Amino acid sequence: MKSRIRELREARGWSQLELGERLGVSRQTVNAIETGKYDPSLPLAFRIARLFEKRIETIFQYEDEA
Amino acid sequence: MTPASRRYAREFLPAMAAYAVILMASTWFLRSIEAIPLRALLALLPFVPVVYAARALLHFLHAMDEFQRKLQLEAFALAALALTLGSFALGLLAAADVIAPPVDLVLMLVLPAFCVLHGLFACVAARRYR
Repeated sequence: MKSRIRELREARGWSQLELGERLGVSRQTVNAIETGKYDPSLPLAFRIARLFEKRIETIFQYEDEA
Repeated sequence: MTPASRRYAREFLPAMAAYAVILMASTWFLRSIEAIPLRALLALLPFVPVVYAARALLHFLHAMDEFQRKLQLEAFALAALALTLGSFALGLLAAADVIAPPVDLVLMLVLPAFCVLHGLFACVAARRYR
């Protein structure tokens, strides 16, 4: 799954650590989501969307692997 | 160090220290006591702090975020797989009289071996997602 988290985070001038603190997750978790190595759970995706004041589908785009 | 890691250290380290002290004490007392019920009690005494250490580990798992928990659970699964496959291979060799490992030592090594394997797999997983 592709996400715009890095772009949104950098636009606010936050580090991965700062974003992690705001979301209640580790810097490693933020990095894994940004690099597409980990897809967040639905509750975490909603927390991210709420934090950036965006709709969830504007932050995460599902990529069909087939 | 995260608050969860600090809490883990606060709970796990005293449990392990208590384990070391109780193990030495129970080993010392076991040399002179012959009554079976008392020997069983003394032999199982080091088990109590180990349960506290396991409880600390569970608290730590619950305090983690979802991604970290996923890494740890993957490491647990791989450690369990490696350990059960290894012990199965040992069992096959023992059944064929190729080796004759002391049963008590093998049983006691299961837990430390699992911890070491979990640590190794957790390191590998952490590097993969760094």
